[in-house]
Amino acid sequence: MEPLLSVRSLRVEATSSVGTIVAVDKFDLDIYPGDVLGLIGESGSGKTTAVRSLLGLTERNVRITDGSIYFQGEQVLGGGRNDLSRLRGRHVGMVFQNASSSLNPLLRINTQMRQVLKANRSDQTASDRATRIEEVISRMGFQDPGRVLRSYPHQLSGGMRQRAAIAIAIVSEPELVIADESTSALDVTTQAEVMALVRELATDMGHSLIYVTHDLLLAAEVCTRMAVMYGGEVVELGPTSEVVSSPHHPYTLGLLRSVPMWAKKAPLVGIDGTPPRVTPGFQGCRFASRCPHAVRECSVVDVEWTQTRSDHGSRCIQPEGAPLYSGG
Amino acid sequence: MTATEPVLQIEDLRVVFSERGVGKRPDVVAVDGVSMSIEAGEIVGLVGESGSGKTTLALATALLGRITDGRIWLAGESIVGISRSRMRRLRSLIQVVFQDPHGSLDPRQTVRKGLSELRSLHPDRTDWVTDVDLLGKVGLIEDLLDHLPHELSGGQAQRVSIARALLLRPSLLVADEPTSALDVSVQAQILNLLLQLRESEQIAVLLISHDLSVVRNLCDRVYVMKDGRVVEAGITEDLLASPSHPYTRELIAAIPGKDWDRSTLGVASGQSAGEVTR
Repeated sequence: MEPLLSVRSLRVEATSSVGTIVAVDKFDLDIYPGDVLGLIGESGSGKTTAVRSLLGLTERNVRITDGSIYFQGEQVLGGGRNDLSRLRGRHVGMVFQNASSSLNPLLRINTQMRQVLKANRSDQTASDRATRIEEVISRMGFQDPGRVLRSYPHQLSGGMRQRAAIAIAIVSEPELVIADESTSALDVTTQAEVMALVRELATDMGHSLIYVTHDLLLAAEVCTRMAVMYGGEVVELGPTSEVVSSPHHPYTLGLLRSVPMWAKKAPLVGIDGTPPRVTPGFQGCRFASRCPHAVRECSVVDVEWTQTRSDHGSRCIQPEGAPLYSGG
Repeated sequence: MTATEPVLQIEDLRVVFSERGVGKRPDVVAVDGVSMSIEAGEIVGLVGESGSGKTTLALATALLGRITDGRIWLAGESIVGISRSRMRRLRSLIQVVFQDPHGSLDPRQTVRKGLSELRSLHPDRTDWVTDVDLLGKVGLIEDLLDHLPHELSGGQAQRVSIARALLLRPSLLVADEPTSALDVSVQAQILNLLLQLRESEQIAVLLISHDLSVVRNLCDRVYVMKDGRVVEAGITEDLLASPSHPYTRELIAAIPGKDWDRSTLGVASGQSAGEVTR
């Protein structure tokens, strides 16, 4: 199967008054039709910068300095091209963390959906659009979809606003939807409802989905594959069940040991230290300074990606994960 | 104070917010008849969604917020009708750690300066420990004493907040969502710190959280709040194993990754290499 979206060696640098940091590096990713990928990372891991770069939505001080992106086989970035903005909305929809700030407070939901559709689907007639809006809003689990369409954002609850934002993201029938921490600001019960909707989005409505989150358990519930980011790099990528049952990268293991789990009361083990500041000259594994299994080599060599199975790989010089268990 | 005296006891607490004047909105009953007690050295969880009244209750228990009606005893002493100076003294028995550590620290004050301010306000309660030893108790190194809050990571800043709370040797620490602004790897460190402080300092903790998994891993007892009332309370394991109130059941149903279990993840601590390769 041909990937919908292919990203190759994407590198993104951010420059500020204190110098340049590498926010995303050696970022490779293939998204297939119907794929539900969780992009996991803690703050500063580069997960948000990575997906925003895919959409050409970066801040002014942030630059893509290397890499290429292909969408449906066609090159949209690299080789002198930058057509990322063409994808946005029509082919890739985005749902942000805070719906209150991503919706226009002055326009009714109906108007906002119509504008998005008008901008992205000039092939449709006005009545096509009205039908499409009705169709999408009725699938968002609202009790009274008509009232939601007539409402301004402030008249909706947080969960309803987030569902309206999802409706806007998918109304133009994009092939790929990117959801960035879309439920973190919600209460747990509301979060569960929105997550159910997000899952349905992928399974029933056939969108591919990149779910960006810091919440490993939440991602594990929804996503079929997981990419774990640390220090701007993807350090592990594989099927969800594989990644959580036999993590290859010490960072993934550290995350799993940090999460308070429902099922079993077990001692929590945090990860000591803090993430490094990755400057352009950074050498070695980015996790080396915090890694309990690091050897001298780790902070010197450029760690290559190792594919241990056809669908599971990691960026660690001890790729089988063998040492992870020796120390307990 | 006898050994069996609760650190904090609340009976029938009500907190009502009302507006004055023409066109005022109806009164909001944020806390509606809540009773609660916390024993020495206990970790008690308080869960509920936003708007359920848990933070209002927390502020009231810390004697920082408004109290419309009800009775509160601190270490067996009723706080109704006591003098201001006595109140101030009692209040230092309860310390609060807030959600966003960077928001609760003075941005222009170094860690050392902040501690010395507390020492000058409470000279008799704070002479039991040096700055360096205090930081040691929360797992921070001496070097951080001269740092400003913005030079600290989120986890470090939260440890500083906890150190500042400890300095007054409180018998109760009220922690209002102390880890929800932190990354999970750091959250684990802070939660472990709370467990460890309960042992080393015999401190009771009221942990306010929306995360039932955190509560299950940490708390001896738990109170569930909804619409200003406690709808269910009990020993954490019993309550979560067989919740009787529909709202508690709803909260439990909403937990992501309930089926994930450390033992099935192959990451249980102390697991030997042999078990994994087999």
